[in-house]
This record gives sequence, structure tokens and C-alpha cells, in this order.
Amino acid sequence: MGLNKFILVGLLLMICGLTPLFAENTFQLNEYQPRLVVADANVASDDSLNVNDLGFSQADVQSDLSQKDLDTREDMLKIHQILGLTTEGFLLTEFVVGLATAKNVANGSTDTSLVTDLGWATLAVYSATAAFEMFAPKPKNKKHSGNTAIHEALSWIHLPLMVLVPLTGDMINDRLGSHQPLGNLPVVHGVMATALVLTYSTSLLVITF
Amino acid sequence: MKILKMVLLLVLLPTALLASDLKGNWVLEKSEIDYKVTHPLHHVVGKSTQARGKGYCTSTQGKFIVAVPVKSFDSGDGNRDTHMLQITRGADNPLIAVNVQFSAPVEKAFPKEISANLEIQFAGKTVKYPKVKLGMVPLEAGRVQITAVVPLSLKAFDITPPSLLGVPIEDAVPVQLEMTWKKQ
Repeated sequence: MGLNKFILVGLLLMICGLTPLFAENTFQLNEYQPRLVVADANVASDDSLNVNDLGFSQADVQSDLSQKDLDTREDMLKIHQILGLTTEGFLLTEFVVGLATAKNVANGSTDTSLVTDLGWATLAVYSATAAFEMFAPKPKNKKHSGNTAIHEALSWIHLPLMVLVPLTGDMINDRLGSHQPLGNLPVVHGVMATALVLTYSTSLLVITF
Repeated sequence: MKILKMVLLLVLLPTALLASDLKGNWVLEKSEIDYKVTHPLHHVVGKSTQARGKGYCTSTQGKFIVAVPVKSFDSGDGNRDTHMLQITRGADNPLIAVNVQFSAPVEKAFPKEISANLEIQFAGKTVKYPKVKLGMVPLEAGRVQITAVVPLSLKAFDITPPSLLGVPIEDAVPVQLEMTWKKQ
């Protein structure tokens, strides 16, 4: 091997071994690669890495509700959830008792006191459940979506039914008390009560599963 | 002598690529950040595309910051998103900020994966996640796609796991990041 070849191989080995480790130095020293030196010169300083420099506006980040309101909302919705499950228990019991009472009335009985008392109790628990949702602080710009939207849409069905079912029940009681014919009123009452139980139970299921 | 020039060119080209590929200032062009919540009754994915970020890479290290508003996450249920905002103390700490730091790789022109140290500020707490793998794919026109999964733990940030029917969600909430960075 001649001297020139020996120097050539030695030089190549040295470059191969060292350039990856000293890449920057190699290029900063190489006058034919000025772009890379410029890139290093333009590199931001550590101080500029701050979230305040990312261009977020107050509207981009700020919540509609304060933390206190969010906590209050959460507490109220938790009570709404517990009362909602309690209402479901009352509703199902009322429905079963209502079926038994309807059978007794058809057989000539006029005693509807149990179903009536249970009905008013159900209405009271239902109203409390609704109130804890209605009066909970709400974000201004947040629209209901997903299962919550279905839960809310169903409330527009079971809320009026929760008013109409006790009213028709009260009308049945009045007619029974004054010995008037009941007509189709028990059927209407029964259909509305069934719709109430179904829509309320569905609204509870969609929010849970 | 021509052979020497050719060999020198071949040897120096990879280092030129390394420097030109990673070094410089970078800005986050677009992103999608997903968190996954697991409950026996639900599997929820919340997404945000509102992250912003910037950073730089020298020949020795890379430093980046990425931030995303807590309220920008959409799980497909507005009420759940408001709940998430509440449990993460999002009104008082509206941004999730991630500081990323890594040593610049020297062994490859463009690494497929690098190991980075993450410092996450979230819900008023700062937690360090060392050696998180960042997948890197070079794109056209000075862009790089970065993917990563951060194994976020609710306990680490003092977040009480929300529960449904008395059953809390799992503590592990993996966060998937998919970002496109552009060289400035």
C-alpha cells in the first residue's frame, strides 16, 4: 500500500468515526454549508418556550363557569342522579300499585288511597330531581350532545306526563267519589302512566349505559 | 482524487441530513390529542385539535412546549365534558402544558423514534414522564409527524376519578398525541 493510499484510508476512517459525533462543528467549520450555521443562530432561546407565547386568547382557554360554579354544578347533578334513581323506584312501585288498583276498581272497589298517596310522593321526588338539574349552574356556550341530549329530549315527554298522570288520577278519584261513570279516563290514565314509566326509565338508562 | 471527493461526499451527506432535518425552530401546524377513559359500563374517547406548540432543536438537544385548553376536549357528550372540566380543576388551570426535552440523536440522519423527557402541567400539578417514546415520520416540505402515547395517571395529578353507579373510572388514562410540526 502506497503512502498516498494509506493517508487516504486513514483520513476516511477518521471522518467516518468522528463526523456523526461532531456534526455541528464539522458544518460550522465548513464554509460551503452556511445555511446550517444560520439555522443554529436562529434557534430560539430557552426563555421563549412559554405557554403565554403560544397565542391563546382568553376566550380560547377560559371556562364559562368559575371553579366554584363547576363544583356547585357537580354537587347538584350528583343529587339529581341520586334523586333520579329514587324517583325510578317510586315510579315503578306506583305503576305496579296502579295496575292492582285498576283491577280492584274494575271489580267495584272505590279505595284508591294507596295509589293516590304514592302518586303525590312520586311527583314530589320527581320535582326535586328536576329542580336540582334546572337550577344547577350551566355553561353559557355548551350545547347538550350525545346521551345527555337524548336524556334532555326525553324530559320534554316525561315532564308533561308527570303533570298529566296525577291530574287524570285525581279526576278518576273525583268521579269514583261522586259515583259518576269513569268512561275512557282509566284507559287514558293507564296509557299516559305507561308512557311516563317508559320514557323516564329510558332517560335514566341512556345516561347510565 | 475524484474517488476521494466521491467518498467524502457520501460520508458527509448523512450528517448534512441530520443537521438540516432536525435543527432549527419548529411550530406545531396541526394536531389531534385523544384521551381514553375506561369504566366497566363505558369507554370514552375525548379529542382536541386545539393544541399549539413551538420549540427548537440544536445539534445537542431539542426543547419544545405544547399546550392545549382543557375545555377544548370533546368526548361527544357536552355534560361529560363539563364534568371533566370540573374534576380537572379546568377553570383555575385552563391549560395543559407539556414541556418536551430530548437529546439530539446523532446516529441516524432522521430517527424513527426518539426518547424524550416530558413535564406535564395539568390540573394545577406538575408531573414528569421520563423516556417517553416519540415516533417520527418525515413529511414533505419541512414537516415532521410525531406520535406518542403518554401513560397519564389521574392519581399523579390528584384528580379524583369520577364514578358512575359507585364504580370509579380506571386510574390510567392514556393520552395519544398525533402532531404535525413545521420547520420555520
